[in-house]
Amino acid sequence: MKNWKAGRPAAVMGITLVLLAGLAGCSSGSGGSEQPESTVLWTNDGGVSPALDAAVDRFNADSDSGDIDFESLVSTNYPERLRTAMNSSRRPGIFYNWGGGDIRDYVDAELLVPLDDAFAADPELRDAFLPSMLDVANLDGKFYGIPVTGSQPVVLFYNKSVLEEAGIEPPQTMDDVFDAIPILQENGVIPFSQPGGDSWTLMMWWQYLVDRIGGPEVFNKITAGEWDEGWSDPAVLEATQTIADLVDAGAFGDNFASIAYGQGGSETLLAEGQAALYLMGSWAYGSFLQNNPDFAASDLGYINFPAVTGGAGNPANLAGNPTTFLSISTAANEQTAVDFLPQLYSDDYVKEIIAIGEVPVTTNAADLLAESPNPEFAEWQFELVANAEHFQQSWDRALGGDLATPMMTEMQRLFLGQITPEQFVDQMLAIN
Amino acid sequence: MAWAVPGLLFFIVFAILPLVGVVYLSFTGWNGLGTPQLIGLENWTTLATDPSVPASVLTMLVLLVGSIVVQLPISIVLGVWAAGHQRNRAIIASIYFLPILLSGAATAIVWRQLLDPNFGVPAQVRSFLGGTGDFIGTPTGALTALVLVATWQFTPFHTLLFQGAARSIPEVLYQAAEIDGASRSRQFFSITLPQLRNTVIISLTFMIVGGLTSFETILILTDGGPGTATTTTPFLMYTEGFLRNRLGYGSAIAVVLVVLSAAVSIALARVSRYERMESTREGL
Repeated sequence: MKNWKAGRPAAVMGITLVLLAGLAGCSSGSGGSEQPESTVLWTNDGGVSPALDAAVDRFNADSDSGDIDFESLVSTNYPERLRTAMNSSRRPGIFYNWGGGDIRDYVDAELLVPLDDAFAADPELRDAFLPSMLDVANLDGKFYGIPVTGSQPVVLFYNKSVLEEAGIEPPQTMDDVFDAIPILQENGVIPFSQPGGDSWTLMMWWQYLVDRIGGPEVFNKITAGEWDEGWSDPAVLEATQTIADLVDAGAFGDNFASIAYGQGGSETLLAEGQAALYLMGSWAYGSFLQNNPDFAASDLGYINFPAVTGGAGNPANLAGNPTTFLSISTAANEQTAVDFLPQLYSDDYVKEIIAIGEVPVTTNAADLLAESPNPEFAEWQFELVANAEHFQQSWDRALGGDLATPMMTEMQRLFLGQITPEQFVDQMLAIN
Repeated sequence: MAWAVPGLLFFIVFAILPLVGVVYLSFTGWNGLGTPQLIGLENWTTLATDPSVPASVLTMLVLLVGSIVVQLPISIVLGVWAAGHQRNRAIIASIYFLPILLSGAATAIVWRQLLDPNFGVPAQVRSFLGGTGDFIGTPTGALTALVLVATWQFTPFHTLLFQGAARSIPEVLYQAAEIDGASRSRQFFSITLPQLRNTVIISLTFMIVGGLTSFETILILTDGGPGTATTTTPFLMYTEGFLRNRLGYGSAIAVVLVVLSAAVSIALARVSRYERMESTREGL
């Protein structure tokens, strides 16, 4: 113990030095003006990675403005990793994102390169994609992203034989839905398979109902920063009330809160005929094809979300993930990055992503869809997207984490009956 | 003194420095991009009025007490049982210790699958006992599930502690008790338990520290839900800091957590009279 006392001043001095060094490191770490040019391309999509890698190789083979380095970072914490990298000297030049609220902070921090000049110089690049899709990555009037994957609208899947046995047609309106619920219950099936353990699956109901009842304007207001006006719209309360009514009517069965999406239980319920309908992103078609091929081939039906009688929204409108994007950061060698973008609508790339089941949002996709592993569904989906007057981006992506996180929590509480529709709206108004 | 330098440096770089950083960040507004801006006490005034902070502390305490009440008796009994030298005990015990080897994240994923209401264990229970199978989707069920998984995952470790401790209890104590005609249960309560006193404290310390920092099981198993039913303070810190990108406010919550943990560990050291380092060999 005596030695400790003798050594104390030295130890204190050591600690102080380390602390000072650490603080100095902190303050110089975030400047970043001496950032080297980066032509690294980051993607988080395991599905299209091989196609994208091949596109990069084709580009590098005869590029006269430099090469691109391809890096696939497939992980669920990609947004957090990207954010950390964006604030460091290892900022990727080109990166994968969801557009909308997902890149809002980067645009505000002036970390992204607008593509308007590139579009002006090469109108073909702009015309190669569905305009409604490019709009998703348009912030403050400027374009920031080029679609890199297909679209993923949320659609209503159903089990054909279960509906037949119950003697009901696929619901065209929400009235049909409420009529069908007691009939299906009498037949001993859960009306809607719903993995309520994951709040984003509950949000799908929410975003469609608000759109069908109030039209796109309601959500456009909310994302445009007119928060109080948007949430006070009567359509919001009506949609919330409809959800409470659905839960009360037993639309989702008696244990949906315990079902997690990732475990596949919700899809098995539909495939095995224990549930009749299933509201999910179009990617579920792929998992049915893989896990329940017989069911997918003969018994799986799909329709757009039902209309709401008297609602202001166009029943052809869609919600979900319009598409995902590649954006260019200020760290990029801009010339190389812009030169690469046409690869994303090249026949080679489009064909390759169609082959893995994507439904691209390029204007040339329609002619190539016959090569899809599930051409019938792919063509149906392409038409759906092309005919949609408005494609509402998933609210969690569109709003960004700060606002979406508490919203998702309250949404789950609404579905669980822990709060009333009025309380839900009040909570939403209090968030921002 | 020199022997302490590597450990001390490690502690400074990985514990003290980040702590200073977190305290600094708690006085800033920062969304992870650009430079943190000093905003004075704003995070702290928000924290003082934010009802989710005390709610998360309460949830954490409920989980902590639940885990201790369930795990401690089971590990003591199993540990003492496994301390016997019979071969069958050695075999069963070594199988029982397997969960220690598994990663926490993998364990949570497997349990999530097992708790599916239509295809997992609740579905089996439902076919025998009725009910809806709605377990992990209810607030009580979700908390119970977390205690259950923690018990499955960590009891083997604590059992191992008690097995070692029970084996080091001198045989003479039991021999003397037998001469006095003490029953097996009397021996357990009058010799074994008092002799395990320090191990109980060590085990409790591990459980409390583990409970205060537990995160990945909650993230994977319940995601803090349903609603906010399993949002503990570390989970709230993650939600605010990394999902909402409010790193300043998340840091303020982290500071609360540090203060809370420090208070608990000081209290524990006091109560256990750890600093006096009494001998475990009571009665010898």
